[in-house]
Amino acid sequence: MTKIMDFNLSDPAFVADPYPTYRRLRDEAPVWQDPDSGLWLVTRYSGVERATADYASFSSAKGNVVQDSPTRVGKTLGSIDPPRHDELRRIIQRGLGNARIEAMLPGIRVELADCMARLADKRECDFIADISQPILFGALGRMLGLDAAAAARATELTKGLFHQDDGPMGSILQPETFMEIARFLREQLDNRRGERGDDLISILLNAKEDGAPLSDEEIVANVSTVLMAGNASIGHFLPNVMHALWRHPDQRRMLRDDPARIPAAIDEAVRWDTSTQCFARQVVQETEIDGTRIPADSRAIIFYASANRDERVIPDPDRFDITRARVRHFGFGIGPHFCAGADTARLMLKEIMRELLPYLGDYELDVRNAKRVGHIMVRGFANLPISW
Amino acid sequence: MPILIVVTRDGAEREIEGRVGLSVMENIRDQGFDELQALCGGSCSCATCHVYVDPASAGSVPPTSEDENDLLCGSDARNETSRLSCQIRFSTAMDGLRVTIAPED
Repeated sequence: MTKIMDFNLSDPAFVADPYPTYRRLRDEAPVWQDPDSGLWLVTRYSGVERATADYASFSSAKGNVVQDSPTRVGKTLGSIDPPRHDELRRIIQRGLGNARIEAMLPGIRVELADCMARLADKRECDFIADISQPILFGALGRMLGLDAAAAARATELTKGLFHQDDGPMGSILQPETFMEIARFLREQLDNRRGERGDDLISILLNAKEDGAPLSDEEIVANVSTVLMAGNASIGHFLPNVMHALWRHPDQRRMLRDDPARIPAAIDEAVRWDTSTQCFARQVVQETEIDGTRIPADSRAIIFYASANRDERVIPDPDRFDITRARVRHFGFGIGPHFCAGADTARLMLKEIMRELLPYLGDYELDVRNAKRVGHIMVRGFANLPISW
Repeated sequence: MPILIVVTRDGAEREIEGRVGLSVMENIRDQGFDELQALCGGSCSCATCHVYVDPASAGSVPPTSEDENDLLCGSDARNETSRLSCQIRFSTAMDGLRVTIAPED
């Protein structure tokens, strides 16, 4: 226990590779209170599984990020508990339907081909700014029915997401930017009142008018989640897959020879290097978990990324292996709050990888000149130089 | 108790006593079949409890809802007998229901 007390969440070594620290926490203090922030860190598979299922003790009602925004708490799927959560989830999930995502895939293919054509002579770029973000943000813009100017505005507004101005466990976005995002999406909602499309905002508006119990504020808040998840989760997920494959050339070769393995590679990558490392819960009643009592009114951070490397449950968990027998992991969360966009992310990534890998061949990543995102909730890169 | 027949991915078949009122997913999971991930816990949100229902025993199984259908659309392993087992509440009328755990996507 005492050895654990000296680790520092802001340490660059922890940001570069949090997994050895997670292992120490799992072994020595699987439920540990950070003395600086007062937050309780839950890191074992058993603890994560229990906390995510027991929403009566581990509530989402005060938000699911370390410090959430009043524009979102109590309105987004991630910041309410069942039964209201389940009711709202059914409505929102219809807007994220797989059939609609499938229909977007040809557009993603065209955009990706254009992007690679622009880079064909150069054969090097920043994977984040030049490939990943344009493709994913284009897809996100289409999902939300944003025109080019609005899509650019949305990109701009989410740029500061997971800043580290308040430290690695601080706010995820400046309060005024949360307000700006809400205002921007409210404008989009008002625009749709006259003219509907087949985008998520229109679908939710239609559902509301057809009698679904859904307020304008809830539409705005939940669309803001999609916007932020698009940036933070899938936006880091794709570079993390590319990084994992680059670190393991044998696995990359295997995947190139047999693209049918792409879904398995995606599943293994989200386990091995989970882009959303953790979520927060409010402990509303004193609870014992993995042998430690957490008092009521505490804030707990549930580390999916650590549980996904827990050797107590997952054999040889530090090995990245796309042929691994599938394991039950928390790469997309678990329980009632299982990621509503999991299928969207998987379908998009599968398509992108299938198109992208043949273009990039035996690509090289310059990780020495890459910069990692330093917020504890996210595993990903701010920039990632690539050449091919 | 009515019987539920579960076929695992390797083709092994096992009869279990089905508990009425629980979903087929809960019945399978509670009997220790770890192939069925059921990540969302039964809220029709994740499609990781995908099974094939034997048409010969499917007579009393209620039809697929729109939400369930949409989730199944995302699976490459879907066929005409596909169901999410969390959406089938097991009843005495389903005695002898035979389901096969679908491959993972």
